[in-house]
Amino acid sequence: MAYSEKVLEHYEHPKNVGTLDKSKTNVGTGLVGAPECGDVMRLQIEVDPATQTIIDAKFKTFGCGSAIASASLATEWLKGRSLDDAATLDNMDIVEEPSCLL
Amino acid sequence: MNYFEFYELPVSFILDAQEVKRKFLERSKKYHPDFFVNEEAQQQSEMLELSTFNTRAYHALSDFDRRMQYILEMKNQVSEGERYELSPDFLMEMMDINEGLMELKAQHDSAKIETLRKQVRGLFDDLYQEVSSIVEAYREEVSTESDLKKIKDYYYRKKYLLRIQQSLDTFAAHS
Repeated sequence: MAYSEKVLEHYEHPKNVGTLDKSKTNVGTGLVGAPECGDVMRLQIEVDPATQTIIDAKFKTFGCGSAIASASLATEWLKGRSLDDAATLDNMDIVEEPSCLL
Repeated sequence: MNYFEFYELPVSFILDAQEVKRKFLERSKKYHPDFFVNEEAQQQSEMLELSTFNTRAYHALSDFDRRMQYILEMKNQVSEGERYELSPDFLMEMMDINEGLMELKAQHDSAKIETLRKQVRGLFDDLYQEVSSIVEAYREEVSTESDLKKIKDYYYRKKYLLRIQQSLDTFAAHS
């Protein structure tokens, strides 16, 4: 299956690449590895404590195109969401995102 | 039949390279399709299959990392699509090194590359030190599941280092 244009766009121009200040108490950091290819990804969110809403999301990875594209997409999606809402996001949502067949 | 049986060797992470090569060459001769041109089609295809098997066996067993992968697969320790989780501390360390690499990619710095290279060499050694006794003493009937699990963890962590080393080599080639 070919990658959709949207995926390619996220791969070529990934959004939200970078680092949030992890010393801040309202920044959460998650790390996940893909041991088969020796890759690691970090995804961070910054939360507004008053509204329990994600105000910023950043990621960094050294991996393959699909890892970059899906992380870019996920961070876009997370921004502006409430923590409760964000917690329901799982990897199938990324896969099933309309016009985003990975 | 597995590759170790094919070469009449014990299942071991440590093999004598010369001996593996000798087994490969012996079987290359023995099963070479050229020696069977006058035989029946069925035997010809059998010999061709054995030749192919021999090539695959040599590829898998002649290199330490590939041999480790083969044994771990044989023992159902690693499988495709498995989401094996490494310790967060280790991932953090790899993240830091990879970030350092990205900076070097943007701005070439020979001294920093050399420092990183040394660090990575040290990590390779430390990593192997942790499992060397288990790896070297491995015996199919004696070693435990927990021994294999430790080797599996080593195998995956080493992949990170190999990838970093590859990037460093690429840098060196471009400098």
